[in-house]
Amino acid sequence: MNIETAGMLVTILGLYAAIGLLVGLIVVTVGASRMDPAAKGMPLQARAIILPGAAVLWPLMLIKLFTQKEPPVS
Amino acid sequence: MSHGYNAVGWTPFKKRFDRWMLAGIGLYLIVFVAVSVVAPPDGESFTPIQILIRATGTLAFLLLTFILCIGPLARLTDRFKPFLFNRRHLGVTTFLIGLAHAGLVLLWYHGFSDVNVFVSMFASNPRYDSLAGFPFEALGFIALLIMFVMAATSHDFWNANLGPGVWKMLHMGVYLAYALLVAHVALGAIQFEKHPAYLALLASGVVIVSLLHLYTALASSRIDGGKILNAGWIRVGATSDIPDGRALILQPTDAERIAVFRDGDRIAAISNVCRHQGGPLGEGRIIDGCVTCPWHGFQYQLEDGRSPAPFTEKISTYPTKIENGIVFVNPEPNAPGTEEAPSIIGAPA
Repeated sequence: MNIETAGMLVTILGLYAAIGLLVGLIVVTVGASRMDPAAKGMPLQARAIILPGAAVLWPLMLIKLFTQKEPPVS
Repeated sequence: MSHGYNAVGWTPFKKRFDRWMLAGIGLYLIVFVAVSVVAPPDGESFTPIQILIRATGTLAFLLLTFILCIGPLARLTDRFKPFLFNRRHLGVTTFLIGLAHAGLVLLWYHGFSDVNVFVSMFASNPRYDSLAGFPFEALGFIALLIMFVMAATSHDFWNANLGPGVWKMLHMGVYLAYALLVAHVALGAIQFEKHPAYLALLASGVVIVSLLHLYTALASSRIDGGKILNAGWIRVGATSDIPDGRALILQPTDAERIAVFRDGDRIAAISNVCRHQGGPLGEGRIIDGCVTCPWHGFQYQLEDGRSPAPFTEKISTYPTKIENGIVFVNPEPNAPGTEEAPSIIGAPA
């Protein structure tokens, strides 16, 4: 892999991570309880634990935030 | 279970387990560093960071190998069930050790580069077309990314919100991560390590994981399908064949496995698949009157397949009957959570 391709790959990964962090913060602050009523009143430590997952799955989180009508079937 | 979320569902056992795990990890690192300093391989000397890179790398590989062995081992002996209950903590810890390994590698081998450390990692060795010279660091990086996704989604919130099927599929990525890690270690050892211990370690890990999975897969395929009799009833076996508090597992043709439990003189059948992560309920046992999943302790009432209040999980129940001391089950499942009176041993048919 040449340095230009590597640079582009790292930039794309960095952008993905930055957007993920932003969406992740929205999910753990207000989005989680909207998606899942069981997440209402979730302690701060639990929110911090789900932040990396929300960040890495941010496209899915956006879809869920805007389209999910029903809570998850448990 | 799905009644609110905590950061970690601590129990005294989990705390004890984590203390032992951390002590073991600390001991491994100390011994590895001490041996590397006191008795380095012939003609080689390593800096402290290089020793730590090897220590964390081998530890992450060993831990991941052990994690992959836990499932099959727990099917062979109950002694490994505690590890099964706490596999999640082991997995996250393994990722963190892998992360430390990657951090040290980036710092030592790419930290002094003029370009971004990640760019340096991908571009410093361009021999992607050569097996012997392949840039193995990239393989380790991808394996670490997969492990990150799994660690990041290990909380029960993700199991509930992704759904057990998607969650399970995501976490089956551990096998891809392991394959990448094996290639990473193999190529790294071939290119840079003179000591045979690394290749021996790698080969042992791969062989043990493969054999254990093969053995349990074969054992699992031998699970009795039962003999289908009139009106679709399947013969399970004599009441005495089912140990008290345990189950026999049946595999009906083209249908979900059924776990037929005995609780004292009661016989009842439920789905073998836990709603949490698809764990094999039939390999669990009855604790406090509830079937308890061997993986993470999710519980279900025998008579209706519902988790005890306030939890809301439901699984299918199946009709059973006992005739002349022989247990039969109807493989047509009731809707999840449907009450189905257990058959009573000794009661008139």
